[in-house]
Amino acid sequence: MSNPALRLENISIAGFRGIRGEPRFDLDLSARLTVLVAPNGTGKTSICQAAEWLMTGEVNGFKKAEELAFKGPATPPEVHGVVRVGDVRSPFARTAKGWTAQRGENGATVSTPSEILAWIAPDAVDLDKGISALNDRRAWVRGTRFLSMSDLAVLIDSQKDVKDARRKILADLFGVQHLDLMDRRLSEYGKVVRRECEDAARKVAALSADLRQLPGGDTEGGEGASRGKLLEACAALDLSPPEANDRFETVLDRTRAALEYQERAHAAKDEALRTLETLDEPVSSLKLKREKSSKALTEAGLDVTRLSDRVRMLEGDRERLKARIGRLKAARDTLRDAERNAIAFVGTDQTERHLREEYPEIEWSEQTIRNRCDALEQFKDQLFQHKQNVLQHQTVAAKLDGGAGPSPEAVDEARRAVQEHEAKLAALNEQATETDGALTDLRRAARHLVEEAPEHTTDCPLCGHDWQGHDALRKAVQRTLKALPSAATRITAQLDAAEASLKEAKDRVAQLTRQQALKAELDVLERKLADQHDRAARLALAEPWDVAVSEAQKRLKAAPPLARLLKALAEAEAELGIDDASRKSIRNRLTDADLSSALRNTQEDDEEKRQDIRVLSDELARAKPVQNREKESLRLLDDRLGNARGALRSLFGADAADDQDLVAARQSLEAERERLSAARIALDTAEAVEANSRLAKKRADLQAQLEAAREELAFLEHQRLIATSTHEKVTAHRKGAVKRQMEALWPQVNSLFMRVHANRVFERINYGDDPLEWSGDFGSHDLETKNFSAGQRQDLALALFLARATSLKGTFFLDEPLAHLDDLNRVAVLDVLRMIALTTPGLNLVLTTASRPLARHIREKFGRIKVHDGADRDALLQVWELAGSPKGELTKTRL
Amino acid sequence: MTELLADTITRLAASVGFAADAPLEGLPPDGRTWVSDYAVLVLWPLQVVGQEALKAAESGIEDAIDPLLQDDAVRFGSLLDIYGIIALPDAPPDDLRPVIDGVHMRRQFYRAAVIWPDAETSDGWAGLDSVTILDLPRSTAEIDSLDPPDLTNDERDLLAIFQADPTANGGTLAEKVVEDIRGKTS
Repeated sequence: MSNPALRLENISIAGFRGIRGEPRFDLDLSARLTVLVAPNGTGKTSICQAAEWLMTGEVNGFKKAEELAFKGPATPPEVHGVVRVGDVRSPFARTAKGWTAQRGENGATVSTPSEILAWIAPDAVDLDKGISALNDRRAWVRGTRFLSMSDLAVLIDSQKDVKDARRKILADLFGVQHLDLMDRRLSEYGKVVRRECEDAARKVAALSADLRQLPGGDTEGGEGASRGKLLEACAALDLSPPEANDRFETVLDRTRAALEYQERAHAAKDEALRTLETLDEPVSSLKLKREKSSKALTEAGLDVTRLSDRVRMLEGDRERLKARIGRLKAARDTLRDAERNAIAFVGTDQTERHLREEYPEIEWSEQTIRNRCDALEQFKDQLFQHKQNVLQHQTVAAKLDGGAGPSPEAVDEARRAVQEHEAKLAALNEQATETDGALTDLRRAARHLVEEAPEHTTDCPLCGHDWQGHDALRKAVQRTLKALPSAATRITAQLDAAEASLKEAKDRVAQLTRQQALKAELDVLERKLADQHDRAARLALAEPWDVAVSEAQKRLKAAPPLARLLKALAEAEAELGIDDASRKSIRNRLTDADLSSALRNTQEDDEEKRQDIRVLSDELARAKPVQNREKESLRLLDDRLGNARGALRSLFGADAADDQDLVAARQSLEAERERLSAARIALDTAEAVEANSRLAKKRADLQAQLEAAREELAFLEHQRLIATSTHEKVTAHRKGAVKRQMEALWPQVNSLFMRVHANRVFERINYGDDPLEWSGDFGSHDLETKNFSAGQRQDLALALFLARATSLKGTFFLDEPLAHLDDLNRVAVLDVLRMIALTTPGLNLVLTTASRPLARHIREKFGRIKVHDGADRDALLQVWELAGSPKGELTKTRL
Repeated sequence: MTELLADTITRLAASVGFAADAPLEGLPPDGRTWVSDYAVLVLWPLQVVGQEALKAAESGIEDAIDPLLQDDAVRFGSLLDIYGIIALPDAPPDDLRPVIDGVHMRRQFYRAAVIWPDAETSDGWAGLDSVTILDLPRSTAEIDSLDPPDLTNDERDLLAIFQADPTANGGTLAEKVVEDIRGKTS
């Protein structure tokens, strides 16, 4: 059995990709070579894809039928055609709803993709029937029937990263996709099984090592022996025996804890007894010594306390004296400073009361004095400007000549007069303009009458008055003309008078405005002068102000030192106990000498106190070591007594007497030590017996695990061997199948390649053990395909596809396969296509191109072939020129 | 040798509509001509291998077909396809290869091919299968992967495991097999 030749005799397309729903696009594909020529974007590829949809049920790269629908008026995509499967003509239909095929024109309908593909490509899948067979068969039909230049370009590519893609394309082309898939699955399977084998081997090795390192165990005695020893230990420790269901470890831990507790208690008693045994005196003697030492300490302490109190009292006195010395020194310094700054200004003859009355500034705060100083300084700065204001005031007042300035009413009156004169002048100007026009017209009319009017004219040319005779008319005109100068002079005089009156009125307004400005300036100056007087009054300054300011500043400067002097005097007098001296003159009050004398006396007192303290401190220094020695002696006695009493209480209880029997205590402790030692031996023996028992059990467990691991390893090893052998056989089978087909195809491939490869860079194409390793015979060298040019690669791809097509028969689609060819190679390919059409019945090639010259060339190539015996020339070649675009109807014209 | 070559060419040309005809005037004594509806094929055997002989053959064919071309143009209004085959008596030396390549690349009046004896080729002549007008060597390649490889029972059982679970890959199946083993051994 082999795959039947699969031919598509015709196709009818609607609503698919770039082809509209109405009208349907029908195409006969029964010729051995059908050429579709059209500009790019017309729908050539859509036709190839429609054929792919009809023959495989899918279009590569499109998951859903909706994606294939025409992008215009909504029409579900639909492709119909007659497919010849072997010798059977069958209607096929592919719509958005599904894919159906009829087994023969009157046969049963097959409507599942897997059934259809199993029918049209039965031998594309074998080993894994039912497992992705549908996809494999579909890939085979697509791979062998539809030349995708991109796929074939990948097939010839030599890059490592496309090796999987190349392998898949080759598998499709040679129908070994199912073997390839099985090969990959077995490879994956083998890897995992091998890894598991390695893991299992490691596990066996680890368990074996553990077993070897485990010490030998002895199960003799077992749990009963260990429990017996444990009971023995409990009895020795005076513990209640464990329950039968108590865990061994729990009882062991509990008993060991009790043993350790008792051992610690025994150690404490032993230590206490040793302490008592090392004492050189009994406790009663120590107690007497302590009482004596305590009395001596009390006496030494009394001496130290008395001396310390006396010293503290003297030091308090000294503190107070020092404070007074400080105050006296400060008073003296203040007095000296105040005398330097204040006495020079006010003298020393005045009393404090007089000074306070004379200089009230003494009572002012420093801030008030600073503010007054600032105000005086500011007033002083303004004095120059004030003098300037006085002078300016005098000047402006002189200009006004003592007047009070014009009233607003007078100014308004003058302005109204100006407006009236301006109106009057405007009226005169208008009147003069009108008169001037009338006079001009009159002159022109008179000139006309005199120079041009006929002699019989009697009507006035201006007013139409009939003068009853021409002479009368002329005289009237002459009179009028004679009166004109005097009239003009009158009007001019009236205008001059009006302009003079207007100028006079405007001058009056200007004068009044200036006087108003002067009055305003005078008012401002008067306000400034008044302000200055107000400030002087607030500062209590009498004129002349510059002298008053200077005097006030001096007083303000002297006020603070005076205040400090009076304060210093008061404080110093208070320190020395001098009562109210404010009535005395400053000269007769406290002097520097008085203060110095008082200071000296105080310092002498301080010195006496200091000597007393030094004497007492010496006595205290002698008393303190005595006290410390007594304290240390008492502490040592207390320690010894404490240790001894603690040891006694440890040995004999809280009520132990000072004279207990230490020999009996030693005997008791020895007996206890022997009991504890026996308990420890029993406990250690119980633990050792138990550990030995467990070790034996663990060894048995490990042995069992090792057996299981070895069993698993053996099973996995067996699986690995099966996987390896199966994989090797399937791989060999796949490679053999490909290689046999390659061997059969290769003469054709080489022949086709050499024909389309006109300049014969390569003598032939070879392949190696790996079907994907090809090379070109370049004289004495073999060049890998990576050295091929892009054109040479496509030549080889085309040769491969055509060779495969001639061997399989049926319909094959080549979408733009000739675009890469140079002129010479294109002629060669056309020769090849003609040769194939002539020699290969049962093979139908459908080729698309965007080149109209190429299509014509093809037609010419076939044009001279004579048709014999009634054969249809159309059966050899049909060239269709397509027109239209997705926006319009797709039409075809036979070339 | 020429007769054998002529027989081979006759066989390859017959299937594309050629028949042997009287040699064109001007061909060497052992020259041959084949004619079809749409093309003429000329064989020009050489007695020596050399550039001068090649050039002479190239222009000799051109002279021989010239009357044919003129007559054909008058009768049909279009030109025949004409192919010339120049057969060397021996394989050419390397320094002659560029000249031969130049002959292959010619595109005036006729297309030419230079061939020479080669025992390694199926028809005994290097370059003959690249003459574009002639038929191809035929292939009988079929898909012959139908018979499964010869497998043991264990190997077939392994494949049966694969067939039982179409969704899993090899690694997943292997992990499942290992789990089963562990289930049995634990």
